Amino acid sequence: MGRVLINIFILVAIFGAGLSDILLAQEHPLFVEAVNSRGDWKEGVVAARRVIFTDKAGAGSEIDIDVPAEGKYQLLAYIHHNWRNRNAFPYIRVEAVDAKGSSHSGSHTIENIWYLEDNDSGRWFFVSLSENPYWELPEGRVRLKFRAEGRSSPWEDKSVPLEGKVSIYGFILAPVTVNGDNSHSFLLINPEHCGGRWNVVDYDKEYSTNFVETEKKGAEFSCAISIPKAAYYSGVFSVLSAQGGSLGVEIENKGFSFKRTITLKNNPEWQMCQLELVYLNKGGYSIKVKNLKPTLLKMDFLLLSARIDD
Amino acid sequence: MILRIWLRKALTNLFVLIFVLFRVSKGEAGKENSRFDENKYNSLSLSVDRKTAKISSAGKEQISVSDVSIIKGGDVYSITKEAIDLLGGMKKVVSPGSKVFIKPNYITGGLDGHDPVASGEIAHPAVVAAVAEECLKAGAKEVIIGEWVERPIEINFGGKEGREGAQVKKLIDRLNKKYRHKIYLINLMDYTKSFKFVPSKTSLKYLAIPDIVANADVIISIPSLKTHHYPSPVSLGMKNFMGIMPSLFYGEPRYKLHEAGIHQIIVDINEALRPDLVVVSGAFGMEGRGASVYLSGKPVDVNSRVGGALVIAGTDPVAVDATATRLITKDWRPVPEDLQLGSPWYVHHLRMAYEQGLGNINTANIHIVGEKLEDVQMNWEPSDDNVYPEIPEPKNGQSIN
Repeated sequence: MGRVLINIFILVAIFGAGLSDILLAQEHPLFVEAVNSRGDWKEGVVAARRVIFTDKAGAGSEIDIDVPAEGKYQLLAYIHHNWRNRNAFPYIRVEAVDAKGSSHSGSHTIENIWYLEDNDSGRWFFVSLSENPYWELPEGRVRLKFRAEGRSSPWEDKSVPLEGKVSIYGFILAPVTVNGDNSHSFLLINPEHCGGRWNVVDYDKEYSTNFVETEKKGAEFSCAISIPKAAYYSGVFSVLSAQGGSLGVEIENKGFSFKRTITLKNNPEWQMCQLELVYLNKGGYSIKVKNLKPTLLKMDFLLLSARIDD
Repeated sequence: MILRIWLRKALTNLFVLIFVLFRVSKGEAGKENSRFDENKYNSLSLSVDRKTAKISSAGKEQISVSDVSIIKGGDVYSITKEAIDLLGGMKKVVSPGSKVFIKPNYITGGLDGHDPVASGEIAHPAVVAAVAEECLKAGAKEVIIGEWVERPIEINFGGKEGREGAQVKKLIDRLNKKYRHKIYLINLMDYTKSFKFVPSKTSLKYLAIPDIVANADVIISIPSLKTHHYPSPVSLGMKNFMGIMPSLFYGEPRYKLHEAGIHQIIVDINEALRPDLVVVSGAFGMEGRGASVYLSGKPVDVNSRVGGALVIAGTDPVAVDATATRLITKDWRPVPEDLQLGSPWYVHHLRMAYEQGLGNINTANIHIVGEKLEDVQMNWEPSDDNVYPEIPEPKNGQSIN
């Protein structure tokens, strides 16, 4: 009986440790789709992404985002517009209230894109909406209220009518990685500047962005990354897989390898795929992405961010 | 009983040992932090009378003399090398195996269809190429030449050549064949993967620096010789680093940095980066309402003014900028009562950098080698928007920023 109990205890200890590891490694979604917001902004599709948009100055919406742990966070938004008038700039304003009732704010005036050609379809911009450049947030829910306006220049508060639509694809609340006296942001990777066999497409009018694509099974691209601090890291990547498909993602360095296969739904719209948490030590790694099936895949960015330690 | 006593003594000794070790380690850490802060900020205590601009050094640190070289000549490539050689050569700045980041001033780069090199808008390609080659000859492992450009078009100097481009690609391609492809021309926006946060004395508290720049072993600034519109009368080596700041955070054209106080921002960036070398490209320049043709800046052919192209170089970015400022502001008035300070005193970020101990602006602490300043000094037209002088009078008790 004693031996049985000891064996049960050992088994519980082993699996319990594994279970707690899994629980600890539960990821928090890095990317929050803007269509989850509520308010005056309307839902639609822009450049093959499902967005919320407005063409009315002052129209507001709000969205809730979970903050997994107290810490410093940068709020990013992926925004599209097609304003060409040199005297009209899209302006996004956000006010936030965190779980303790404290207020935070931020804004961004996005440049107009006079330099694009007449029949181009606009551009996507990653913009930082948090001031200074990050917010300090407690664990819990933060409610963001946002609105769009037109500004006559980045230097002035003078309002002008919205030249056209402003669309938001999603929000990213990216933890700031603190390592002693050093602080670092998320990692944002542009695949068209990585090495490999995916084809680079410069500014595509249909999708308003640059990206890489391939339909060759086994085609791979890779990028060197530098991890600033040992922590759990999660990732998201933006992919278009109209015919479905499968991606192999590998993060490796000498003595370490993390591999995952991600199944992609066939979807005529761009989708954000989540990469599960992986523990990475400080140092250099290579991140490799491989097309595992002979279907056409397009990818325009990858983002990695550290989880804040409890 | 004996055992009990022994245990009590052992535990007491153990506690004392732990206490002593704790105190020692805390003391060492405190000393280490103190050394780290001093190295990081290297601040001097200067007492400056802002009305007369008379200075008295009240600091513990000795102010060192900064060498600045000025070379005039016809061959821009050669005079760039000569300017660096007069400072002791690139080996004083670049160690074998170093990763070098070069920031040329490449602003709009001729998007409106004009020649950005001949208009003085951007650094001369021969200066950039010469500096890159000297880095490789000194043993640099790689040389990255970059600017943050928030546009999806291929950055001019990376691709588009000819009249509208920065015209440096051919020179770099030639060097890459010779030195086995160690030079990279990049748009920082494309290749930056993360940002390091460095402190700022402004309300922003922190600034985001692209990892490629933050991780470089050697940082070199190559500005063009330009006056500038409000709020800075000149745009030289220190201000050049505005071009690495990401529009993702600060907008385009980095308006959030201007809102926070551009002069201190420039000082903060330079304090964080501690550029190792500044090489001012003075074959062509820009006067008036610089710093671009689009903003009505006026091109200057320096050769027509002083009989040759100029290159100004030094390892003290404040001293280089101060010298280059003096070079083009010969008759600008007023000047401070203390003539050692001169017109650089009225360039906010230079004065602030000097006050915060980043480098020298006073002539007594700048040793010019090569050409004599008075032989090549010019009187360029300032911008017409009252940018000079910015008399450093505090307003309502607040410091100028």
